[in-house]
Amino acid sequence: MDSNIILSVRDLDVKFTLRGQTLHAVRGASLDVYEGESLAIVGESGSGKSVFVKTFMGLLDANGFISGGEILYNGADLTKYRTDRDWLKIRGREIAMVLQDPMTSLNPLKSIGKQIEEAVKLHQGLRGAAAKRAVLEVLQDVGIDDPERRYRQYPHEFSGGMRQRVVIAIAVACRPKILICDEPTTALDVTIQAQILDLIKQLQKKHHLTTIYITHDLGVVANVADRIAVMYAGGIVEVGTCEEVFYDPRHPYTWALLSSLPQLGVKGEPLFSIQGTPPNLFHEVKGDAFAPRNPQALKIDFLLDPPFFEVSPTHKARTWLLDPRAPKVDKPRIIASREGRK
Amino acid sequence: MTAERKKLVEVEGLTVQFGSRRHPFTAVDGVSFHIFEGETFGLVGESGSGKTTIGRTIIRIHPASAGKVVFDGKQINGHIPRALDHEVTRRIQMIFQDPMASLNERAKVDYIVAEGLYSNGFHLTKEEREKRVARALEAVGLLPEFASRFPHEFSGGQRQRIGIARALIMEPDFIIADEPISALDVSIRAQVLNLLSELQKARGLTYLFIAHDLSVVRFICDRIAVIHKGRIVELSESEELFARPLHPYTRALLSAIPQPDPVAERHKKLLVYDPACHHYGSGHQPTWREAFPGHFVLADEDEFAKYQSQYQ
Repeated sequence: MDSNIILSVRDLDVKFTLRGQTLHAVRGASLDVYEGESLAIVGESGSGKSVFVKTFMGLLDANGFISGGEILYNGADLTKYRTDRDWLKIRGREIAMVLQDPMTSLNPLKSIGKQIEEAVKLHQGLRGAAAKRAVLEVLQDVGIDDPERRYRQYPHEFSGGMRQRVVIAIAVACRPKILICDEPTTALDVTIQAQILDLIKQLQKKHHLTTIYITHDLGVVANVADRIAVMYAGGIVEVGTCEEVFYDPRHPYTWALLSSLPQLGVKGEPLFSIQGTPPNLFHEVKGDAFAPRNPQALKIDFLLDPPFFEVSPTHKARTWLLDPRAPKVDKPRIIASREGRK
Repeated sequence: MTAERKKLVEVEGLTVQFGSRRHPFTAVDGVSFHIFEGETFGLVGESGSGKTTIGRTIIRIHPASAGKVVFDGKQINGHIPRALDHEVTRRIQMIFQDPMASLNERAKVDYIVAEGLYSNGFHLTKEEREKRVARALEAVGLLPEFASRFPHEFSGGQRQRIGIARALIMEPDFIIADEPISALDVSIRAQVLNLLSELQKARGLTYLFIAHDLSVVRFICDRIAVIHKGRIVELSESEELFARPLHPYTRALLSAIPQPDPVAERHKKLLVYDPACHHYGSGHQPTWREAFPGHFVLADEDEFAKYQSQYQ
């Protein structure tokens, strides 16, 4: 895709201080986000994917701080932003967020209409009847029938899927350029999940949004993403287009993640599972963070952190296996059998 | 082929109602099915479909409003003799969804795992109890030393293993697993699924696997029942269900499964289930019919003919 870079993250480091110890949550992650694309960041819990995108909106917890790198958006470096007044220029207006659980992201004491109106008033400067008209329009936009009646209702009168639509409505009402969806469908049923993903896709087209999905569910990713970034232990280990990552993954962690999906398993045989646990980020990680869990790890994996190797102009992975000097390691059977599907 | 297999659990016309007598809410509406010994039976549906309620009624957390639950040839709902009550409590165990919420934060693993032994009058000596706890922990791939730790010291996957050890220590025959992997990470899910199948093979366990994720259910279950609004709409062996789904609700559910395959996803057609497509009226209710051997569907006369003709 030839389009402009809308957001560019360079060597971002995020740390947290916890009881005198330092947790290195994001370790030198770099990523470019292109205008109009939908990018998915995939990783297990604790991989730092949520923390990573929270820095785009200045939403780190009080004990977290950016210790290095830069986030370039519209010519400004967001890591330099300190006060809430700075951030208000970005939050909602430029970058908006949809959170995982629609039960907790809405105020139970305020009617749905009022909650969306808040965003409309703040960001579009509308008042009174005009504001209400804008709200009704947004409600219709996200596929909520009978908006007049729904406007007066409270969150408890909505089902989970409908609530998530309201949350999306609030995010879109601000007319942002970038929409971040943090596990938007994990709390929802499969059928509803598909509908919500469809809705986000429609809105993306209609409002020319750039969307960033954060998820651990590779099935969801295949449906929505143009590009995928795989994150492990605070670093991005592989970036590529959706096809490249699904049909021709190069990083052992991506292999492991794909192989452990029950959709690809053979019934009656044990499912592939990743042994061990992710590294403790309170300690310095030496070499490739995935090496201790990787049965095919090379000696150098334990000593030196690999750089990114380019597979194609859009596809790069951070593993020594791609070094010309590396011995040939066969992909797992499940992964190799997917190559032909491209 | 299935005729000679022993039915371990039989559920007949099970109805569960909540709320007051004047305003009852029917969560489960006349559900019947049976589970063979040694198989994994999947119960799939959306939230609010009553799948969890069925599981909880079998293990006697909720009372049944009508119908009966038969376990190993004996009815176990309603008033039952004390000896049978003890036996059933031991032989049916449950694994819960969220390992973060289902373990007592203030008790050590030792007590959490052994709690069933205490409360069912086993009267074991300390050594005997500790030995059993150690054995249960080893069976789920944890070290016996973990017995003296607290739940917060464990990761999500390890906590779910503790939840499984707690069920195993009672040496049950039948385990109800209510969304045991939904709250876990993708890489941990595989470990827990493998553990469940290993235990089944080693101990001849029977599972009732309750889930909303059909791709997981397909992988682990022998037979699947699809439940919608408290009624089972389709029941069949799992591969058969995926090959020849009959009921429109099942078809909608299958169409919504996310596939880790971008090309397939792009050409995916999402089906939406509209209950209005049925035209049922008073005196014209759907019945339970066998479309293919072992493949049942809830349909009326016309629908049944239509469903069957799709695959001929």
